[in-house]
Amino acid sequence: MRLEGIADTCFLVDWVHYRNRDKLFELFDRIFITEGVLKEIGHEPTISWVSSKLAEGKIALLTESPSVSSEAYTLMSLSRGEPRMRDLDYPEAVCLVLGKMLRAIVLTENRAAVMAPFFLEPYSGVIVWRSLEVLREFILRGYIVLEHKTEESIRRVFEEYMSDTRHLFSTTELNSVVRAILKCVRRR
Amino acid sequence: MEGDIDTLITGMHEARELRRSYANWGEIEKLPPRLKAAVKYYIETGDLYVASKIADVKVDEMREVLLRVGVPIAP
Repeated sequence: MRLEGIADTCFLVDWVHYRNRDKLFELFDRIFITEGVLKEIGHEPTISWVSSKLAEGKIALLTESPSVSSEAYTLMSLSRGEPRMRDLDYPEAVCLVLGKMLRAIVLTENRAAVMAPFFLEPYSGVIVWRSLEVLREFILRGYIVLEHKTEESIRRVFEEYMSDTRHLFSTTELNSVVRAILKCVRRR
Repeated sequence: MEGDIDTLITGMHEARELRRSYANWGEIEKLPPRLKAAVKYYIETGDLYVASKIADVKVDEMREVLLRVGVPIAP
């Protein structure tokens, strides 16, 4: 199945440090970024990686139209009216709008964006993945091959990501994903 | 939709505890005012984008500042 993603800056600035970062482009045929993402990155490793993937056509640049921008502000306003969720920032709101429009998976680490499909009905069909979910998909789709079908082998994948990127996962969320993966791999 | 909302909310609280517990407060206090405010904002919220705006630096530069003062990326 053809997969396309739309990534925000917070996702990419972690991912650039991961040893398996280019597997992202095995999982996704293309990842969109907005012009805003280019303005928000300043470190050489990030700029270099993103620009090389732009040159290869693996990352594609999107310009926000006035209608996308307007919808993003509407979405931000909706999020402010939902007390159970955090307020959406503009870049994540744009990603959600474009994700819905292009049927692309939203790649972000922003919790408000992750919460949006739960609480904002017009966006209930939008898929939002963080690195936790992307790593899960790497394992389940065979882009990362486990040494053994054990919890320890699964945890090692996440530990490598945390070690490379210095991004820590919450214990509850990590355990939940590990359990879900273990259940799937043992069924196979 | 991915996962369940209870796990997500528990994860949000745990992530804040991680940020607070790893932070090197002595080093944070030595930062210039804008950076110090941005780091403290990130510790409380986990929102890297707004923290970078408070600090008036790029998002990946903000990330490096956080790591320098011991704050893990735990959104």
